[in-house]
Amino acid sequence: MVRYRATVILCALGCSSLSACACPAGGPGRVARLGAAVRAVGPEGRGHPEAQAAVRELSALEPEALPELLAAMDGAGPVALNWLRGAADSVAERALRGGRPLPGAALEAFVLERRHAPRARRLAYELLAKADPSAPERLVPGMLDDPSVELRRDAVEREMALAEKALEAAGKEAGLAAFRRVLAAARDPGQVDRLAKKLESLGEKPDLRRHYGFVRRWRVVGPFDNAGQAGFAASYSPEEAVDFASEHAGKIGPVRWVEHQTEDPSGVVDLNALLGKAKGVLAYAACEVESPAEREVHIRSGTPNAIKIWLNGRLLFQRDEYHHGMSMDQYVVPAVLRPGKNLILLKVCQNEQTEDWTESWTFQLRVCDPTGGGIL
Amino acid sequence: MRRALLVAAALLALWIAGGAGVLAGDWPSWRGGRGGVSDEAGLPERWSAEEGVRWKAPLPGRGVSSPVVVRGRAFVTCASGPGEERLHLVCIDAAGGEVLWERQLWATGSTQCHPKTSMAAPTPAADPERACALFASCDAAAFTRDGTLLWCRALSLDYPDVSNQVGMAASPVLWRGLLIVSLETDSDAFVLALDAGTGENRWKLPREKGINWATPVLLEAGATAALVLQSPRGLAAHEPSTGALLWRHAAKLDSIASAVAGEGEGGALVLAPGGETIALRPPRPGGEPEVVWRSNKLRTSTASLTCYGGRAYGVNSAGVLTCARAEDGEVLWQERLEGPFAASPVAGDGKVYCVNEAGVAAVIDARPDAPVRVLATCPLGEPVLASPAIAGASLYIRTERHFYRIGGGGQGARR
Repeated sequence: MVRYRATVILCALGCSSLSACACPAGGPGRVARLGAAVRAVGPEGRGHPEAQAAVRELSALEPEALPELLAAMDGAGPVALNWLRGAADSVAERALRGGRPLPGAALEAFVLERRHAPRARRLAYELLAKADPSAPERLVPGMLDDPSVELRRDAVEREMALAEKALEAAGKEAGLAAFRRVLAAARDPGQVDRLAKKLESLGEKPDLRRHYGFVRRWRVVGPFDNAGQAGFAASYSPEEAVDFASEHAGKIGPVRWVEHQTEDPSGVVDLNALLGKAKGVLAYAACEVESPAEREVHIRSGTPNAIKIWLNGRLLFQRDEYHHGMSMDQYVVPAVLRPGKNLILLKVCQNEQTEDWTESWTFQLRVCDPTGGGIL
Repeated sequence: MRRALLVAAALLALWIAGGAGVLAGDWPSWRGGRGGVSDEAGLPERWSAEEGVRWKAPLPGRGVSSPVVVRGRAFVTCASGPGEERLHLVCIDAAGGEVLWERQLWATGSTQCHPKTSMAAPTPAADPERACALFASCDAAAFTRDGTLLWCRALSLDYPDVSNQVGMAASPVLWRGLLIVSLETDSDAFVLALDAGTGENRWKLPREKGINWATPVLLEAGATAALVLQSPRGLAAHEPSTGALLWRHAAKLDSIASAVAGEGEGGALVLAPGGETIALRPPRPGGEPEVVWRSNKLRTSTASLTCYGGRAYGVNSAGVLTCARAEDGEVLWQERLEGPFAASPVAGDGKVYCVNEAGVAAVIDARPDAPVRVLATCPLGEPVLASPAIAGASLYIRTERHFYRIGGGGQGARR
């Protein structure tokens, strides 16, 4: 037991001591050095020769080095995460195929240390579940507020079943309380939908707009010209300066910012209804978001129209694509809010297709934490 | 005439692409890299979910990509998770159906797509050294035959505008150490050649913007090679080692069903589906392609054409299979099959296989003097949207959740 705890502590510290004492990684600092080579991969294949050599070495590690290898994912970008995952998969599979045990205690400690990369923790959890099938039952109950969306999803699933039992055993009020608690933690839209329906069946309509952080109140100005889809690249005056009192030269005459509050439960703004049905046009929409401090967030949007998104005057995202569907979280853009007011400006473009299914000129946008929980 | 066709077919076999070291009986890429045609003999004529199945392996996720088979290893891609954010490449022993290894990537690009398709839509490509996978999230990766990661790329991070919300689907082409991927969308469009060994860029060819799912077809004869790109605006042939333009032909063509290499009396043809299917004779170096025939009767929908034994086969959205003479496009017969079809027909051993979306295969007798056209209808009982592969006297069929080897002896299901 003492030894188990010691291993847990070492691994929770990022396994820096593990390689020095047991050397499953082939020498002190070796995994960290190789991991750094992988994390240095750049766009268009830059750094690939070094990363490839590093992954070859990492793939040959002993299974005891898995927590250290997973720790190398901390701070890695999406591409490097996949490189390192490739090495971890190779190490784990070789061990399991050869009948060698995975380091269960160290993997468990890694999962429990929330400062590690969420995806690395999820991978550690899945490897741990192979090494110790009883681990999920032990760990999942503590994951309802986990920063890993995948781990949280498992916990929400479990808690939903428990809430159902509470409802059956202790009645409506106990059930409502349990389902409310689970909904607050839920991030997966499928789970949120199921929970919302359950609460509604019990007579309570949850505010999903708030849960997700959909922006309701907008200021909108338009239409501006988008004939030939040229407006996407053009810069109209609202892009130069956002002054809600100002007048602009629109496609069919002067236009002013108008206030609009959407009542749609998913925060959808229908620009056809607001500005009149038109083709070959574009509009700007702006909202202000207050933040008490600097904060990492996601700005998540959906639209069947071409879109540009600015935050505090900086272009964050653009997509020149029309009428290939709209869905919640279609575009997920990480951003940093500054303390105080933050201005989000959208440019939403409609093209000139004439088919019925190309009439939509709509958008939705939410501001949430990186797990998807609304912050507005 | 028959002899001339045989000669043409033999020339075609040399002309269309085959990766270095890939065996004749392999199926290394989408439609085998040879338009869905195999020279395997002893292919199955009748099966069901219970009969004629050599093995059946469960898959870790769904997908509409086709399997590939190289030197006794079958590779298939899958996607899993609520948003298909988990991307899988599975390597299976072709003899026994055991999973030899499975690797995963986390999707780095958008995973939104039409519900009928999947992040596992492009078919992988393999040679004896490596297996390469491309996913609709624009993630690409290559692994050694034993599953060691060689490289991975997040192409939607390198080129942020290349994305479509319907789902990418064009399959990569693996040729002489280059992995050539076609990514054509409304907001960015290009063909990119990656070093298959390192994942580094070798050349990048800008294309006119516009959503397009057609898979390039590679033609090769001796020292001459051409990568033929199809789009709704026509065909463009490029030198595959550099991307340099060889020739171009303007026509209104499909953006899903892809061009295929065929053969006629006068030599090799490219058959490209569209409002009219056109048969084009590629030019000699520096020349212009020649339109040999046009047909508005040989129509396709999602499935591409198959050119086999001097005949072109196409199945339309109504499930009508049309057989036309490849040399002049004259329709020889039509047969209404139970559709609809997403998978492209494959052919070999005198048979054409058309697998519908319900997983029911119509086995067609392709012999010119066949007394009956439909030899058998073979249900697997699961949805099938992926074109089958042919290798080792067997059909390899990926359903929504399973991977089957049909025929090839050694009956017995692995479940």
